[in-house]
Amino acid sequence: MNERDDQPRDPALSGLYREAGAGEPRAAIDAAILATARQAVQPVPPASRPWWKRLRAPVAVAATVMLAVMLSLTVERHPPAPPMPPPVLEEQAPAPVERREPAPVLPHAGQVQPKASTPVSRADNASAKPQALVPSPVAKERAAPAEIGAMEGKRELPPPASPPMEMRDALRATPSTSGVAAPGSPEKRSAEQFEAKQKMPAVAPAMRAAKPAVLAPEAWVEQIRALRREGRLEEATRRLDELRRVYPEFSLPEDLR
Amino acid sequence: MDPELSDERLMLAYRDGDAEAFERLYQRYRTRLYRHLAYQCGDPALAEELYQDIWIKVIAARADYEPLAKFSTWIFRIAHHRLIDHYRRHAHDVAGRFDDDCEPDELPAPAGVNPAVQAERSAIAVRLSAALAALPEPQREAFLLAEEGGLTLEEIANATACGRETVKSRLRYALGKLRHSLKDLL
Repeated sequence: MNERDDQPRDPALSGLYREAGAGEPRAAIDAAILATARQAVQPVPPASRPWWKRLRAPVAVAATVMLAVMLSLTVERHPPAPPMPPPVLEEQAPAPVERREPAPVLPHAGQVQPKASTPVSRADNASAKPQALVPSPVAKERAAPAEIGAMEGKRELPPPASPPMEMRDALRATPSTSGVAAPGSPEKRSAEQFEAKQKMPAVAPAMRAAKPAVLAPEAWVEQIRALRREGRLEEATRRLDELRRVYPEFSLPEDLR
Repeated sequence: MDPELSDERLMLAYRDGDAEAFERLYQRYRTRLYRHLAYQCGDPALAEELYQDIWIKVIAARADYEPLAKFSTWIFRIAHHRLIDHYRRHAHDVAGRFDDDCEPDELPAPAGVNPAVQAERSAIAVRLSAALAALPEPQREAFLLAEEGGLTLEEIANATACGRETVKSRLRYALGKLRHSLKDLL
């Protein structure tokens, strides 16, 4: 009440104002404003979109899920290929009798690649120089005859089968250095394959280049027959043994049994 | 719907989707707001434009409306800001007259009204319109908010963003000038 009493007023002037004031907005403006107000509170009907637009998101999600499931099933049913079997490296070795003796390998390998004499040490200390390496007892044992042979001026060519055996030893001697991969796991196999590939050029690049893939058993049989025809019976027998070892399930022809 | 619902309740009902509540609210403020604008700017066409803009703002602001003040204060505050915007765009000198520091009685009167408009109105309306047009804008606004909006000094001060004593002073000056101009009609 104080506020109203405090407010300056003139009732006569207010009456005159009410009497004179006759201005009003046009009806069209009233209609436009009321229509806008009604439209503002009306629920917006969902826009009719074509079915392919409405189903685009669910279909995309379903396709993604299906693709992921199929990929996982495919990987599960078709695991990565196993590593190359060791016989691949030794099957074409022409002198298998001497291949288990490590000595003849090293003179030749040492001339070509000095680092190849100690593949295990190379694998463990790839960045170290060969002179600085401390060879393992096995490497020393293998390297000793080679050095003697080299000093004596013997230039016997080592049997080609020896480098693959060295590589096998190297592959076996360089197990999981990281210690992370479980034995036999795909990760470990992949790591071994990678290391073997890394070592192969250093150990015996020439021999690796000269050795193609594993012979088919039929070709192997033909090779044995040819050796027999040439009278190289001992070598034919050796190749036959190798064939049996590499392909134990292969049924030999009558003439080779 | 209860016909005696307050303005604030009607606005809240409209905020919740009741279009009929807005129509009732519109009818309550239709004439008051329009006459306030028409007397304030002196141009019916411009008053209609401003009138529509203000109601569009009310409709757009319904979602954020909270009854923190009287609806009349709220809508006339929107009208005040819309008028200031108009003055800033088209008459920079007029906008400056709404500052608190400016002494209302020292402000010049606006230009004369249109003779054609005067001819169309009745004698009293013409006299009243001329007297209002002769007032400085802040004084005229205070008078119109009090007469048309029925606002108190506090509410006018709230709507026009100035002090209560300033509003009181403006209103007192406006009443004195109008009494002087219309003394033969009173």
